[in-house]
Amino acid sequence: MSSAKHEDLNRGLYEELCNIFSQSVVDTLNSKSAEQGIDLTNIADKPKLAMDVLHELLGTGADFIELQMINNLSRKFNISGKSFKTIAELIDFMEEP
Amino acid sequence: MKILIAEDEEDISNQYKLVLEGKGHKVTLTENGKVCADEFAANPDFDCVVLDYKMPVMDGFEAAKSILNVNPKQRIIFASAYVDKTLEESILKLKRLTEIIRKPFDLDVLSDTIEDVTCYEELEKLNLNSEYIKNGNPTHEQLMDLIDGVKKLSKGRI
Repeated sequence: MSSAKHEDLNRGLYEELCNIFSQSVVDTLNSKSAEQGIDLTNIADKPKLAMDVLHELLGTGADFIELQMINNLSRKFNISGKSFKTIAELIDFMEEP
Repeated sequence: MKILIAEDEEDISNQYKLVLEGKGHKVTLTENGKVCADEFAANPDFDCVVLDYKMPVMDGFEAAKSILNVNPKQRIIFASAYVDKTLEESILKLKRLTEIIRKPFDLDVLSDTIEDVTCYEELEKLNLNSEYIKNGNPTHEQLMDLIDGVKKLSKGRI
């Protein structure tokens, strides 16, 4: 995958968080994630770890966030016909040669 | 939304149907808990089930148990005049997705409950973008999980 597309994924995933939460909530998520070594502006770098941290912070509330990310990014990258259970699966698919 | 209703008083069930279909929902009416549970078993594809409590043949509580056996995640709303404290506790023990509206209520209360108006108001209070979230068509369970999650996160900040 090109680095431009990788950055698009990172930007798109972070935008989803910003679209759902207010800046203050996003700031809290950022600082709590950073404590665990996760940069939420770069979710595509470590999608499984990032989503694990979000699940730890938001409990099952993160399930809907992940679903929203998958649906909206699938539309953005024109892969709506594919089915993904996790963001990590979507990223893996995008990274396939 | 697809809504299944069990209500033995025809005038009341027709009012529910009129109001909810007027808001674009698809409504299936049944006249008692048994017919409702059978309908659900044959076709469990409902977003929400509304149950009266006191009904002939099978009451709402038994119908709820039967429905939750088919789909443990099914959202159920009790709309009843006969909800005492013991029953209320029993109903709430069934599943946290089970809600109660006490009769008599304004018909808008029923549609607001079904459409999760209070949940979206709470999301706004928690500084979430409720309109954006609504566009994702979340289930009632997903909304509750999100509210719980953000509350948990906020608590961690104190």
